[in-house]
Amino acid sequence: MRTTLLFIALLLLPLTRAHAQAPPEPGDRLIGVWEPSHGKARVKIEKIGGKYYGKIVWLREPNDPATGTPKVDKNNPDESLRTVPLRGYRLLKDFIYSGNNEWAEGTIYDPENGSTYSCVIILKDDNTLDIRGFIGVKALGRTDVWKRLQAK
Amino acid sequence: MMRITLPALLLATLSACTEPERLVYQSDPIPLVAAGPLFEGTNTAQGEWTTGLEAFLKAQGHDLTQLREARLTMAILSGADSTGLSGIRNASIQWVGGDAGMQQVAVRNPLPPDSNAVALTVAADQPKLADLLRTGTVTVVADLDLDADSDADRHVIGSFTLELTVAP
Amino acid sequence: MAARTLLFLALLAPVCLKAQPDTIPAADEEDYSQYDDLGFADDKAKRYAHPKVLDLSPQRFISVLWDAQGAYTMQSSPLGSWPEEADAPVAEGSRANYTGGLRVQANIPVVSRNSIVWQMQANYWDVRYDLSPTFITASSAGLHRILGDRGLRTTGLGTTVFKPLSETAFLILQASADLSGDYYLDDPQPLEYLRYNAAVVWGKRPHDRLQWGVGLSRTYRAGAINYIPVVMYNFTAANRKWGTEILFPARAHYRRTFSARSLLLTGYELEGQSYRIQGLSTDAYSFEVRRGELRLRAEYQRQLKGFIWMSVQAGYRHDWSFNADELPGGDEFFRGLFGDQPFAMLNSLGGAPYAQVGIHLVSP
Repeated sequence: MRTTLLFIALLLLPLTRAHAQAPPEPGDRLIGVWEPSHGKARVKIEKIGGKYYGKIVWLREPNDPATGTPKVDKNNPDESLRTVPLRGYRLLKDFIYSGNNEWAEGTIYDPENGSTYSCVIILKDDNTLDIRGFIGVKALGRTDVWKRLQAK
Repeated sequence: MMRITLPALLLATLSACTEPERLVYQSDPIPLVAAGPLFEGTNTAQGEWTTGLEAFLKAQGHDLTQLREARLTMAILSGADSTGLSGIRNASIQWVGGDAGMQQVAVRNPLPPDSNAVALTVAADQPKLADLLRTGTVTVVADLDLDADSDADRHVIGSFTLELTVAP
Repeated sequence: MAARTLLFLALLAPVCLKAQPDTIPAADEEDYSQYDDLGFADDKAKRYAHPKVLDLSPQRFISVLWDAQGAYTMQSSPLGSWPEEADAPVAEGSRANYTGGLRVQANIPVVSRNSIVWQMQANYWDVRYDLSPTFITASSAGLHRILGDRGLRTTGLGTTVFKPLSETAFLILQASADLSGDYYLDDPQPLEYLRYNAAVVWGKRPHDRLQWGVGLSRTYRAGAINYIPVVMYNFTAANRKWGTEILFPARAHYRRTFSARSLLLTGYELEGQSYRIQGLSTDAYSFEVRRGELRLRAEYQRQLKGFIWMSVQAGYRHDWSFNADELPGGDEFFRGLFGDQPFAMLNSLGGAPYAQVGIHLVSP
């Protein structure tokens, strides 16, 4: 059985290999590592299947002070997902480049309280993002400024 | 071509024309690969899953438009080669497809040591899974937290069991 | 020149990072240790104090509440000139069987960014009285009948600005105008009877779990216009299970956090407005009831679904003040906490239990 599985896996492997790089799209300027204004985390934005996702790659306090173990998503409204580690957590999801330096139709998750907000991202300049999380309408929300990070 | 494992269960109902039907669907093993070089920490492994739901439902005498609800009941992560699942501290699986947003479907933290196949804890809330599956192709994203650097690619396999609810 | 070089280098940054723009991307290298040693691409990044601290009860955008009090007695003196401590005769007395009504509030951000938060508030409170007269003398001015027939309304508009001064210091400026009286919405009282409140607070937020401030406010909460100092102290314990939400003297609560979705506040709040009673006012004088209430209570807040939360509050309403003044020309005068100008009518209300339920659109 395992040999069969391995065989199938090897057959399908070429389909999942990265192919030659497509020319960079304007939406790809979002890709990179960014730091929110609170400085408690760093988020890497990448592209999966045509949409943009941001995951936590660094935490200023990686461990939960109460347990001493790496932080997990303990405020997730779904109890069965409360063991997902925060480092590596996809905070920003499903953003699509909508032109004019704006990425929309995405969501942002706040691990502090388990809330998911609708979100738009605006590239103010190549190193600054306006991330606006809101409820329902853009007016009911808050804009946070993220700055791009690079290797020193 | 597509070997579809026929389900063992089919819930029979008295008034079949008004009661929705529940079917169990077992996916093929889906290869997921994280291309090297890999480093300690979470690495993204991905694979494309052509669900074959349409063909499966047709074989049962239904079509895709009748799919009302889909529920993931089991998610298994297994090794694909000699490395098995060794060195993977924890894993979480997301599905992405079409217009439906990325959904977290399963997680296991920590992974039990020395096992070659683990059942992941499936998310209790599974909104709009049917919409995701209706697109026909799902990108399966597995975040694997590795305990050491590695130059080589890492292969694992995901397989999923779904409970489908079809309207008559 | 240096700025331009820096900008040029900054523009190169995205190219230098290993980006994967493919549509079927390979997995990314995920050496987490590489993220320890990063600096800002340009050095204009500035940190600002955050307006909230961890675990603070959620900020309410829109609220709809129902407030109801239990039975109590209400007594009024005749119109006259009564020092507050005077032993005035009782001209009429009633039993208030029911006192309550609808409260609608909105708190909408106009600008909400790291560098400044500016919000506008609007509120509408309606209170109806169901009074059964126990006795009435010829000298009564008829206040109870008016309250029973018309009830009291307050409509307010306000603005709050939270301005962070640095990563740890901030300034809060607040101002509001209220129109309070026994008017109906379709025939509001003239805007010259608007009453103004304001506050300014300077504070510090040394870390994520503490925010304190001191300031000054002009307020009607104790029943008449007062200029009083303000102390703000929002604190969350390290174990994240309890905290305080204090804006003394307006309100102070101890908070018990059960989860990210439910909490309990216990404490008090001072409410107050100056209500103009049209039927007892003349062209020369505005008759205004100086309502001040101390409400001791416990409030349970819980998420219902998504950003909709509910609150249930139960407590005891103590009558701080319900005396009335006649204001010549409708102009305010300052009595403050220590003044001894006489009142036009002395009213006393018995204490009563009360409850309040509400449903809110919040941002946790």
